[in-house]
Amino acid sequence: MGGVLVSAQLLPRYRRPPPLYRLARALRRIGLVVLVLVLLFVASALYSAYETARGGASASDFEYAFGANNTFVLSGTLSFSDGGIYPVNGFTVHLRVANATGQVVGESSDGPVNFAPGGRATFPVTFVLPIALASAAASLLTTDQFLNETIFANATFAYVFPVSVEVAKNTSWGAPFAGLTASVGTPTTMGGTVVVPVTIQFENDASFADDGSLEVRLVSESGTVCASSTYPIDVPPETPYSQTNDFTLATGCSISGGTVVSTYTTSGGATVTLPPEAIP
Amino acid sequence: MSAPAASPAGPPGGSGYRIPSLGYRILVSGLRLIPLLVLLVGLPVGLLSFLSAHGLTVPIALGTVTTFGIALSVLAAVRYIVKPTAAYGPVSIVASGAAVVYLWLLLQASPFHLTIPGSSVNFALGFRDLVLGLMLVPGFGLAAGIVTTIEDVRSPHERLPFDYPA
Repeated sequence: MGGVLVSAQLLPRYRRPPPLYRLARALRRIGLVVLVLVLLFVASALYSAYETARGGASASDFEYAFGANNTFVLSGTLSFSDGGIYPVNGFTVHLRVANATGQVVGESSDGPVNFAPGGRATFPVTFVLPIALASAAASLLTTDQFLNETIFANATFAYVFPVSVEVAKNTSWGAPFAGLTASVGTPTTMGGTVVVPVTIQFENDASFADDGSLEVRLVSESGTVCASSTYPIDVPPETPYSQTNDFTLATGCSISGGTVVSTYTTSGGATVTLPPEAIP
Repeated sequence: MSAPAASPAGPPGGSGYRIPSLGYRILVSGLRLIPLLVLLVGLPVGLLSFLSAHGLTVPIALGTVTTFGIALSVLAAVRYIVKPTAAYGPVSIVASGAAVVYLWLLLQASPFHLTIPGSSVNFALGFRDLVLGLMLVPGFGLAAGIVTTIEDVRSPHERLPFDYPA
């Protein structure tokens, strides 16, 4: 017993720190651990960003074409190499097309797509622009113009860093039915039937062909279809088109004050309603 | 270099303590001030100046970075000097509070918009979550400062044997 007592007196007496001291110390240590973790994360994110930027991104040539009914599509592919250690999540691309006056003629988005780290991914991007007659983009059918295309891409890098890039560029737009006119000639009467020559003229200033068929309808002022005809067209880019066809009017149907309504059907079967032309 | 004692020492390993002299604490805190100023003032101001010199917009004013960088460095140095006194807790609170305010100002700068001169390319980088995560650090420091202040009020010198064991 005596030996135990001597040992206790010789050994340094350890006194446990008081609770408040321990609490303050623990809080400071937790703060330090958080700081170290955040700094390590930032360092690894910087390294990952560098590797990802080194891998780079590339885009194929984007091309316009007719899409589904009354739409243009702008399509291409984006390739992206994420050589880092963190993923790129929620990659979304947004396209906004405005005309020379600043009026937005179309907007479209594609995505989101996630890119895993350490790999290369390619994904097709398709923007759909409606060109129905009531839409702001209808002028794209018949009017050459300058467009302002703004491409906006955003994603989240390394879970916590939202990144976005916006690129704006001016492009020259060539309309696929530039200067479209439908001229109604002088009617002739043969054996009780009225025949009217109608000349459709335009120039394909687009980068793609007008390949399909054109349905032309002569509509009376009251909305009755007096005559219609469908014929194939194949107009390569940068090529003028002029075609005159004779239309036999339905008995008793007058086109005076009516309209010429044209509908283009692509070789793929999509239809595009062209702006109507008034008949004097 | 040994730390000259400025306070009475108690029994070794027990409740005694040995506080370095004021001069020694000022010297050490002065030496610690150098890397702090480099880290909190030199590097960020250099980076922002580099961006500015290349025609790029900077997310936060140089004056703000300089002011807060110097203030945080000096507060950290003062905190070390006054550690044996009752001012340690309040100074810790002020230092952590200043860090919170600085990070809050950084938070307002997120997302950082970058326009590349002579091009139509705009780039934006958000760092809100990172700054919020960093805010935890002074947040814990603030809490620790409050606890230390309470401890010093309740039991003055209670922590000294543990901060400066003899």
